[in-house]
Amino acid sequence: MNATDLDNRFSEAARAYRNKINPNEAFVLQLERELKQSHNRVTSKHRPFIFKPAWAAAMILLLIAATALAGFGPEKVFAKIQKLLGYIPGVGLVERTQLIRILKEPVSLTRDEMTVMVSDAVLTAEKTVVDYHIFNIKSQAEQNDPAESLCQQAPYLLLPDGRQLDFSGGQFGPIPPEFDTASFVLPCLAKGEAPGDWAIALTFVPAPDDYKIHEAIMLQPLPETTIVSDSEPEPEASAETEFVFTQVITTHDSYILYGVIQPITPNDTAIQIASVPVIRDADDTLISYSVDPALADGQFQPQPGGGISFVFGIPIAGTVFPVRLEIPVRVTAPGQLSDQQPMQIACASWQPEQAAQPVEAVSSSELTTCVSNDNLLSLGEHPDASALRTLAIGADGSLNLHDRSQGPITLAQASIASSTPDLSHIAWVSDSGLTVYSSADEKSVQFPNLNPEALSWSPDGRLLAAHVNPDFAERAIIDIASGETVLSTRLSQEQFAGWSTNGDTLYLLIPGSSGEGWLLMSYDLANDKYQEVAYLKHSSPKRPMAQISADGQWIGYHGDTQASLYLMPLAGGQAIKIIDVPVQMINPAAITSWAWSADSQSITVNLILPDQTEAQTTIVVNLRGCQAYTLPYQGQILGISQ
Amino acid sequence: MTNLNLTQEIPTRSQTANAPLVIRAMTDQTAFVELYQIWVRPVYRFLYSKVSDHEIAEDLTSQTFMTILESIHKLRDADRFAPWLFRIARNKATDYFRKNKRERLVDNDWVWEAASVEMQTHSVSAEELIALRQLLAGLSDLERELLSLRFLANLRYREIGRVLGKPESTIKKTIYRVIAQIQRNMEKENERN
Repeated sequence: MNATDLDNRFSEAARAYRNKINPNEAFVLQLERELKQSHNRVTSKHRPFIFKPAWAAAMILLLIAATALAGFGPEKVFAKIQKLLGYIPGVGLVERTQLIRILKEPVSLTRDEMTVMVSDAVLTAEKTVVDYHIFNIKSQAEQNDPAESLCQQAPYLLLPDGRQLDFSGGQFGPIPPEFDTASFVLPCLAKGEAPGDWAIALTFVPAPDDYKIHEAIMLQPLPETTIVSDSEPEPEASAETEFVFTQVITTHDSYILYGVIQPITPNDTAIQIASVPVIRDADDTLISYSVDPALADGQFQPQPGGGISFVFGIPIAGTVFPVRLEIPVRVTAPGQLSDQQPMQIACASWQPEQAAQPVEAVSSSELTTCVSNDNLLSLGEHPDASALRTLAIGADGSLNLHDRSQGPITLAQASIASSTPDLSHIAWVSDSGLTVYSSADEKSVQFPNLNPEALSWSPDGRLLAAHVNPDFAERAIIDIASGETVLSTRLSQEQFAGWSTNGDTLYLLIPGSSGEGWLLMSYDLANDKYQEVAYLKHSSPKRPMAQISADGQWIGYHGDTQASLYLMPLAGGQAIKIIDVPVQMINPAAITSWAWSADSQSITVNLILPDQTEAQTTIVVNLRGCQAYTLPYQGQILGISQ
Repeated sequence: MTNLNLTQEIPTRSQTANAPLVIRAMTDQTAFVELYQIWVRPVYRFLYSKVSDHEIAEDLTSQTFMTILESIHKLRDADRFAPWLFRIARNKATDYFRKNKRERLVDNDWVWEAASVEMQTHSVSAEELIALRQLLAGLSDLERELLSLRFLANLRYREIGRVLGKPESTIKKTIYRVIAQIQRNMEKENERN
């Protein structure tokens, strides 16, 4: 056989052979059934809001707003509406004035080594959302024919009066207020030997006063019109759409934006979504938007007059407002087929009111040494400490979130921890492995097999860089959405310094070989490229503690003297010594940790004062104006925000 | 010697799995099942090529799709569904090897089968087949993975690049080089015989 005979055939042969490697069809069917069942469970957790009473309420409120505006003026009307609608993550829109009830405590039932656990429930006037989990079902199911083993019957709630509330669209009907108990019933888990008729008694209590319901703020409907043709250089004047932004919900870490794209000439045309919408921020960076599945039934639904609804969750951290929404659409007239119409990009800009005036980055000319031996021991207390949110590991190893005036909330006993600049996403390492926590919904996810030695969040909370395997110098970047490792860096000895504002670039430090200090490198995730950025001059040979500011303008690092801290512009320029407490002969001062504020306007530093050995002092340095204050917190500060 | 025509794009499943279906699958069970039916076999084949065991490949396929189901609503770019899916599948295999402390098999079975089937139809000698097998045993993990993603999972070069976090041009060059190497060795073996 000569080589020519192989020519062009390997790929064909491989493709032919590919068809021989196929999964068992019974397995494919079985997995499909499991996914269908799990889809219900997942949607019960993420998208329980198929019913639309709250949507109806929202539309009614919009009508009320439009009517009342004429008589009372917008401010009073919208202020009143703000008090009425709220948003519960995972549940959806609710009327805030109603009584919300929740599960008193998680309950579980174990039979034949199989466990059903109801971990959470939220009761509103419109629906009941139950979060339940089934454990260890496989050991039983495997004894039966896998393709036939799983039960297809849906759960239901049995009320004390014998009525039954069926499961539909990931939720149950409302439980009347006179009942504070119900039974959660699963008719079966698996066919054959697995026990059936599971009934778990649930008890409900009123949600506590501090139960988190986010405000849903109705926006004054102001149409904005822009159309750009996808294929033609000039916009088509004949096909026009307009955006109407109707509502915004502000959570800890995102703006949830509602609206409608509607045709200029309603009743004659209809709009269809043609491809994946794109959102860019003011820096033209693509924004990683998302939609809580509890709200997703409001996504791309046809509206009266030919419009189509949208809802997007836009992250706050790392986004430079205003954002620009680009939604590919097709506009069809009666009798036209949509796929024969040209695709157009409907565009509009949006920004939250509070983001209209971005904080100006600190410039080099404003910086000078703010803390020295001259003033270190005479700093006054921060005048507005109670307005700050901080994350710190205390001397006893407890990881505490100081949430303004509410006092510390202890999250865990942790050895190390990291947070996004706005403290919305927190990760820590404890005896249970790596835990990832979202302060927005107060939910956490555990990775028990990971015990990283270092952590660094991307600003949007999407990726977590972790030094996962110290024995093999393995640094991984974990996609939090999927829990999967998406990339591993290849250097050795590197330390994390932080991320670019858009999360595309990870900054790493490696020991410099030139004697000029640590070398800062950038790692471009998309292109797997490393690039040298700068040497950190006068950086501590042992513990540089380098950190990139949240606005991506500065890198700060520990100096080569005992208590010094430098800030250097990432774009290039001289490093400026912000803290300079020269070495004393006995028990000198020492910086033990430090952190940037979320707005990059200040730094928080933990210091051991001169002539002390253990007690630490926390100081805040406002870079613009060079004011320094003490804070009444002990421990290793990891993050601070207003 | 003429080159194998590997740089030419072949129609793939990923081109038929359009973004709107992915978007619908985030909330709609029927769309998710449709997506599953499109991808379950390529994912299974890819995992089988890594673990060489049908039961384990099925188990990892299950884990992959369960993870997809749990996370698809957070996928930020529906156009990148295929690379995301295979990245998760790849990580499931890595986790499997890590947890089971199992040596990666030098698995060239599918490459071997593909090549030998082609050769057998052309009366290739046993020596030639042995030589081919030796050659394939020398492929690196990355080279085997590239061939699996390309010819078993049927991904495009750009998608493979996104799975492995490498530029498309690197992927294209590496696959081309591996196949050209196979071809050259076959020529040498042929001349020797």
